[in-house]
Amino acid sequence: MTVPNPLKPAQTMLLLDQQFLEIRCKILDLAAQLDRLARGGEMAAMEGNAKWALITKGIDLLGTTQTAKAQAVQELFSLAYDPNWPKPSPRF
Amino acid sequence: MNYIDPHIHMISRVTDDYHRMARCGCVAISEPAFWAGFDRGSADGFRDYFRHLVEVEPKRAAQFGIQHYSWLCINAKEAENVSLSRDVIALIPEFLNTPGVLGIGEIGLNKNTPNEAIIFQEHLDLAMKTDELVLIHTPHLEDKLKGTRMIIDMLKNDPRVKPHRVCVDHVEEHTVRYALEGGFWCGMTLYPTSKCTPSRAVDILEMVGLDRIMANSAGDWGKSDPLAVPELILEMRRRGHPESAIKKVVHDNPLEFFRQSSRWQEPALRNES
Repeated sequence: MTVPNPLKPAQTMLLLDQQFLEIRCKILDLAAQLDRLARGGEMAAMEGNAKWALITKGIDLLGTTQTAKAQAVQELFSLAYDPNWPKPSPRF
Repeated sequence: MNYIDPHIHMISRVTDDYHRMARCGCVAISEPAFWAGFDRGSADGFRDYFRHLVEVEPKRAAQFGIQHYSWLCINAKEAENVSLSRDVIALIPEFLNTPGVLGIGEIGLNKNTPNEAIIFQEHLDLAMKTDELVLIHTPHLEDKLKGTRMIIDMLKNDPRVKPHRVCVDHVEEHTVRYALEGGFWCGMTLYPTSKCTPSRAVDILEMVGLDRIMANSAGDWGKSDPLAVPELILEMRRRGHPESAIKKVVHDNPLEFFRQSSRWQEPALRNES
């Protein structure tokens, strides 16, 4: 039995047909969440808020031509890594 | 399709879940030691927990034809208490020769603190001295990328570690390549909100291939689905991926990793006709 590796992704147009309603639903959910935040009446206070800054940067990222968008969103929401962190030593 | 769930906390699940998993084709599971939802007060609490893992759950699973395996450790969250952690690590060896124990896990980091790193390394010392497989928890959300890289730093810093005997779990889009390029196995956890959805897990498979990668439900006391691996199977079928590829991810790969343990016993295959 041959196992294809890597897997061949489905064709774009097929995926678009299959997932159109799911994508529409997710965009609508996000739009509704943003409306919900706005109805709270404190949008002016969002200026400088770190969580709000991440959300707006994440939304902006979706509109770019960047290919690995999911990875970029993950990295956006991640803390910085310092390669020189003090590592414990193995005890042989 | 026969499948293995390589990471699920059945202590937190009802017996009906075993029943439903068996009906969906689950033939084996492995259950890592984890945080109970509260910090335990003494090492004796862990001794009782380990007895539950190695004595009680295998019997519950066997009622449904599922083979149950386990991993032992003190989890990363409670590892912040260094003296308790050392007491727990000291009692692990008395359980290591019990049938069904696959190794040390799920060790790792939670908030990436110095104490967590010290206890991670001490678990690693025990695993290397006793030649055990290692299962690693990587942190949640914003801590995941940093913590995964710190964990891989510690693994690479220890020349005794054989990458093919280590599984880095809960990988996502931004961490999977660090694990695979280091030569480690990796696991994707299928959760409804955090970690990976089944759809994103299939995306990851399409991007990195099928070698040294598996999927699990990590079903526990939180929002999780003990039938998440069958959801992945359905998603792969929906995208037209062949049965051979699906079987590799949900059955053959975990089998290949677990077979390295001296205490692994082959699960009985069910007739799939």
